[in-house]
Amino acid sequence: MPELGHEDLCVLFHAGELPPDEAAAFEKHLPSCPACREALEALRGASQAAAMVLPEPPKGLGALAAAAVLLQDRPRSLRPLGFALAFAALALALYVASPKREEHSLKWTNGIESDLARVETDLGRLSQEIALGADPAELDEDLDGLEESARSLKRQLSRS
Amino acid sequence: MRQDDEELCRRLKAGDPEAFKGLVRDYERPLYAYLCSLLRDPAAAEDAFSEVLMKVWKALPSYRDEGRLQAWLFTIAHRVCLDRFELAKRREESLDSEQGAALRESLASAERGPEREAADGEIRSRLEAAIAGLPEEQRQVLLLKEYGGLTFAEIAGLLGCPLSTALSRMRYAALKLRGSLEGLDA
Ligand SMILES: [Zn+2]
Repeated sequence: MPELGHEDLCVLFHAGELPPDEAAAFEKHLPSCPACREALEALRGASQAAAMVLPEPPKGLGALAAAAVLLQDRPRSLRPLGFALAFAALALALYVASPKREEHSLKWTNGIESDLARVETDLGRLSQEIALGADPAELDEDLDGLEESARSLKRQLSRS
Repeated sequence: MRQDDEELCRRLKAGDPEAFKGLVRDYERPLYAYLCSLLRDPAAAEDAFSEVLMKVWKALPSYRDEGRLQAWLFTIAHRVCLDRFELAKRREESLDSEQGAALRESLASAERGPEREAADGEIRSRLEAAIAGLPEEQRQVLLLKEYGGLTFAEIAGLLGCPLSTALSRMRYAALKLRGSLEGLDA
């Protein structure tokens, strides 16, 4: 490690990135150094602050975005579907983040969530089939199912 | 490189869709938190999230097993954000300063939204504003550490700066945050 000042070591100490012997030496240094005590306290506060405002992803963002990537990387005929799904994912994300969401009934919310679950399941099956080089006729059938689920999801979303 | 990383990398490089979905599941929350905080915009973060995944998937075959996969992922995410900043800056420059200020103001109020402010409370919005108001270089280090979970050596490598620079940016960020939150009963 290059030469580091005690205040730099303080940052590494807080992050748990000092080797044990250096961490022990730093702990001995701490009581006699107001600058490091102040920095350590500020670092702890910063970690707490960051944790308190941690932004949460909208439900389903990862699964839908991953599926869209996998589908988009497939043969040409499937690409428009990838875009449609990315769009559906975005619409869904906007719905989840929408403050108006609270105003909707529980029944409506449950409807959306079960539609989303169906789309995710369909997507999972499809991407597996594509990866395994499934028969195009079989894929078509499953695509129809997925499209129906996606349409239902979109209908629900457009009512929001 | 850790052993589980090594096995995951092998499957990812082979284009295994299940491994990719697993990777996305593992990093969905930290990646989104990083993008959302750095871009200061949830809608842009969702868009950037998809862009990062696409870039990761495309780059996987040529990924060289150096360092942690996590650091590599956040390097891609960081570059996607920088590209977006660059694009936004060019757009802003094309507006005259008055229009630009009005746009920034409307973006800022759209971001805060009255409902959200009321629901999240005073403390949350002050914390968010304090973090958003940090100097860019300090904010990057803070977010890469707190949300990305990278080591300072990885952060320095990603930003192309000496380790001591990354460390002092983190320390200044923390001290500055404390200063701007003084008097706040958390
Ligand atoms: Zn000291």
